[in-house]
Amino acid sequence: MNLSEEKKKKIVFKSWAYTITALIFFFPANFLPMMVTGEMGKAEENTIFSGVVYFFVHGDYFVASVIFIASILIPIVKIVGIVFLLLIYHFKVEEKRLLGINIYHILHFIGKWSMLDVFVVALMSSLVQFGFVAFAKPGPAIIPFALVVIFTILATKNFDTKLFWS
Amino acid sequence: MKSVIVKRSTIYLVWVIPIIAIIVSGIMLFNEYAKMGETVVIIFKDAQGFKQDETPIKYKGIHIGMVKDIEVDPKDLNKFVITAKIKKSFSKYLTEGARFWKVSPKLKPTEFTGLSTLFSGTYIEFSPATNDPEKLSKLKKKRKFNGFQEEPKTNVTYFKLISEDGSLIEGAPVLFKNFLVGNITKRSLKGKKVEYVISIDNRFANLVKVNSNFWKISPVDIKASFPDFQLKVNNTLNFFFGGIQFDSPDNSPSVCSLNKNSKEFQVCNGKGFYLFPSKSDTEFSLKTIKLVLKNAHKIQSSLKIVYYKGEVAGKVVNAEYDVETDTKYLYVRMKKKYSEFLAYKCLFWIQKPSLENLNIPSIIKGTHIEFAFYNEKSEPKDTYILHHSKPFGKVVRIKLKSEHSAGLSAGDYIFYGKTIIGEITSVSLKENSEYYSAVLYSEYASLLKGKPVFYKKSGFEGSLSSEGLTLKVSPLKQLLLGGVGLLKCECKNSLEKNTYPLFKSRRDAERYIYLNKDGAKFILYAETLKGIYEGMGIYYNGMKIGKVYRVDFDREKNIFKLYSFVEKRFKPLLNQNSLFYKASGIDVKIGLDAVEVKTENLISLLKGAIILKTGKKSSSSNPLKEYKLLSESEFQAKNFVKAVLISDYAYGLKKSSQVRYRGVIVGKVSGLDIENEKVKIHLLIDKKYSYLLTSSTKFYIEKEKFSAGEIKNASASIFGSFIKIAYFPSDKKKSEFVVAGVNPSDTVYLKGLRIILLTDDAETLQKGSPIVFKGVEIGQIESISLSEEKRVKIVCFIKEKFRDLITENSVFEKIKPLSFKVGFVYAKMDFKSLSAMVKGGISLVSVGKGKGVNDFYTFELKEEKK
Repeated sequence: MNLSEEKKKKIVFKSWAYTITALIFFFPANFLPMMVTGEMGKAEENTIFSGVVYFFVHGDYFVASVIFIASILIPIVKIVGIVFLLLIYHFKVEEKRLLGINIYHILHFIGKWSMLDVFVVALMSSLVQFGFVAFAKPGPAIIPFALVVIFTILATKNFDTKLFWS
Repeated sequence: MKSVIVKRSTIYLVWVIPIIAIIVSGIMLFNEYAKMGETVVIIFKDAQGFKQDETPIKYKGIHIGMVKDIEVDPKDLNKFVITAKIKKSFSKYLTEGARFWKVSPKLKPTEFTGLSTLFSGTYIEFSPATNDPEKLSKLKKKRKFNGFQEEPKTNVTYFKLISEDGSLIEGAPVLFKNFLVGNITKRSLKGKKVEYVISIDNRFANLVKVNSNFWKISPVDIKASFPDFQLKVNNTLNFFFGGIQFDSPDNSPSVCSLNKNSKEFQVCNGKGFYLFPSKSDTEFSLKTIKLVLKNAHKIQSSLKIVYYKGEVAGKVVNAEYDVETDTKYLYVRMKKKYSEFLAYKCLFWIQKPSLENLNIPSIIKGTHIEFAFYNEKSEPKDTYILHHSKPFGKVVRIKLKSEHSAGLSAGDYIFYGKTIIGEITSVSLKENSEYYSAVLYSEYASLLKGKPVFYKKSGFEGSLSSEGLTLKVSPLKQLLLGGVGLLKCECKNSLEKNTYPLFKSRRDAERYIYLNKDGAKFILYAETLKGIYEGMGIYYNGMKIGKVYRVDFDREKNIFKLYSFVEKRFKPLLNQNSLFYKASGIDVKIGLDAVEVKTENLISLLKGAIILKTGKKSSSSNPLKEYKLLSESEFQAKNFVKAVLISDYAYGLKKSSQVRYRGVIVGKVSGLDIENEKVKIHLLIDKKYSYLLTSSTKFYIEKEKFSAGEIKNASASIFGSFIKIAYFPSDKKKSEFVVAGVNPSDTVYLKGLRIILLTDDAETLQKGSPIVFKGVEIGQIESISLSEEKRVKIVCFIKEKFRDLITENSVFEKIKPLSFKVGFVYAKMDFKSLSAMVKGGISLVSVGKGKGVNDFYTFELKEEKK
């Protein structure tokens, strides 16, 4: 069951569009503050990377690496993965087809976990609400970040490994 | 086709999503970039409390930026370079005049600030130069600022105060008349002193004048000084923190005009005001002078206050004692009004309570420092010597030599009159004489030109001297203190230079002075000392010209020597023929007319005197060195001619009654006795007038006579009866006379016409009755007697100038006393004619025509026509 040209084109177009969108949103997601935390009246804005640096500097390597992997590495890997899959399709590199399928499965798998950061922020924002003494609220980066995750998932969903054999 | 197109278009529609993503992301990133804002550099002196990425920059509470970096200026470690990001929207306010300051929690006496930063932490506050966009655009953009440590006050003026201690805290109030006008902004240690910077609201800044005084106010003021005690509790604000109060003299210029662009602690007054520890201190000058007290162990009491004539003039702020040199250094701050006196020659000494100034304040003052200055310009010095006792400034040092023990002591004063002109400084004994060192204050040094002598003053000085009885009571002070008096002498001084004799009493001194005058000294030899005493006066015509100053006895000659002295100006009175005789007190009344002259010498009347009679000048006018003192009788024998007058009655004459010729006293009655039932009057006639004693001369007794209408013989009524001489020249001398019966009128000696009027009844006519012509007195009756025909013979005297009125045919009429009342015209006559009312008179009725008459031409006196 081969895909029609029409269908192929549609998949490829959508995948590219979603991937590029994810890539675009990746920048504000990382440069804008992800979460604004306040302690004793003084507010602090944290981007994802500054959070990583913060935990890393303070010796919480595990937390630092978790955030780094979940919030930075995985989105990059996903975007790079989809781009890789699309490039395999375009250049019809047949010996990489199996690799492409494997990558696709991996992307499919980690897709749902990449929302971790959004969950953390959502959780913090709802739990840490002590007004003046301490508070946490989502920063402007949360939306682009969420969009990055959504669009990578959409891109992954949209992609079809059948493309390799068409 | 259609569907293909549609499908294609839906496929391409997918690309809308990344485009939207780009737009959305772009907006978001741009917003974030916009939020990052301008980078500014703020330099602070103190970066405490600042945190990188944490310390916000706020404008009226809202965040406008964030500190991004804190570094130390590598060139100046006291400078901290803060790099901060300011929101883009505020970048237009980053211009000249914009200010950044640090806000941290501060607890001040007058306010609490920055409380919110207790929790939020220190932040930086921003204030734009202005809110007006137009002005803003004109101001230069700026990215580098100097940060203030606290909110800069634009509407205050800063002043610097220098204080000795730093007990006041920043923020303590600055008061003017207890009204809050500012507070202490900064406190810092400069060298040994504490420097305060105070900020005063611009509204009140002009209250600070050049001569303003600042002082510290403490919560409670206790002022305890004699005689008042004050306790003042200041308001509660000061109670906790203290503060600064100031006042300003009205007529002083303001320190500075308002400084609008006030930067941090740019003080108006460069040098700074001195902050006095208390209000009372403000009266004192800032300048400290040093008093050096040598031999300090002698002064046990602590010296605190410097007095000037009882007023507090300065106070000792610090004292040091050098054990090795036994010297005390006192640091004194003079009161401002007295500090200008330091430009004069000044003296400081220690005043102990003494008898002289013994009163309650002086006891309370106790031993204190006294200060005085002399009207003599001098460079102001920093160091003065503190004398142990009052120094004499410019004085003249003299020595007084006393033969007796005067019993004076150092500190006794020297008086001239009642003025203290000096004092005795020390006493020494040398060769049986006491020597007193003394000083005279320079202003009285001129008294020494009078070559004075000194005497010991006693409280009471009484003396019965030839000048009379004098009793002087000195003022109580002198009475208590005793002292030395000064008398001008003009004496030759045999003592060494600057040494003056000191006598044990004023009398001794006066005698010394008297004898030191230029004059004649001679010796009077007297056989008896009866009535003679030391100090007895020598008189010449009632004037005291000298005195006996010493009485001695010559054993060999068995005679008394009276050392006598006559003042220089009377020296010419002495010559070889001079005579001295002793007059007893009553005998001095030689001429009672001279009583007036002699009243001042009443004492000589009482005590007797030696009288000088100067004889004719002989060829050598040099006075003799020795004279014999005659007794009174011996003197009289030498100077008077004796005569005897026989009378029936004494008529009030007595010893020393006068003998007069033409109204001049020519002699006196020396005695009266009765011989052969006649009064024998012994007369002494001055030798000069001995020519009067001729055989023709007549003597009358002028009696005292009082009658209803007149006082006759006015002089006789005062001096008693006297003897009158009517002199008629004759070659024959005579010494015994009989009183002539009729007392001649005073007109006897006058030149004029004498006529005789005959009448049967003299009626009221009497000697002295007037002869009038048309109301003018032209003469008077000289005598009335009976002629041989038993008629009344009236001798009339007509004044020479009226001689021509009398002719052979002149008619004379009697005037009866009664007629005077009728003839009003007579009432116009003078006082003499008033007596005519009693005495009656004779009127020349008509002159008549005819020849003039000679003396003693006789007329008939007619009765008055009615």
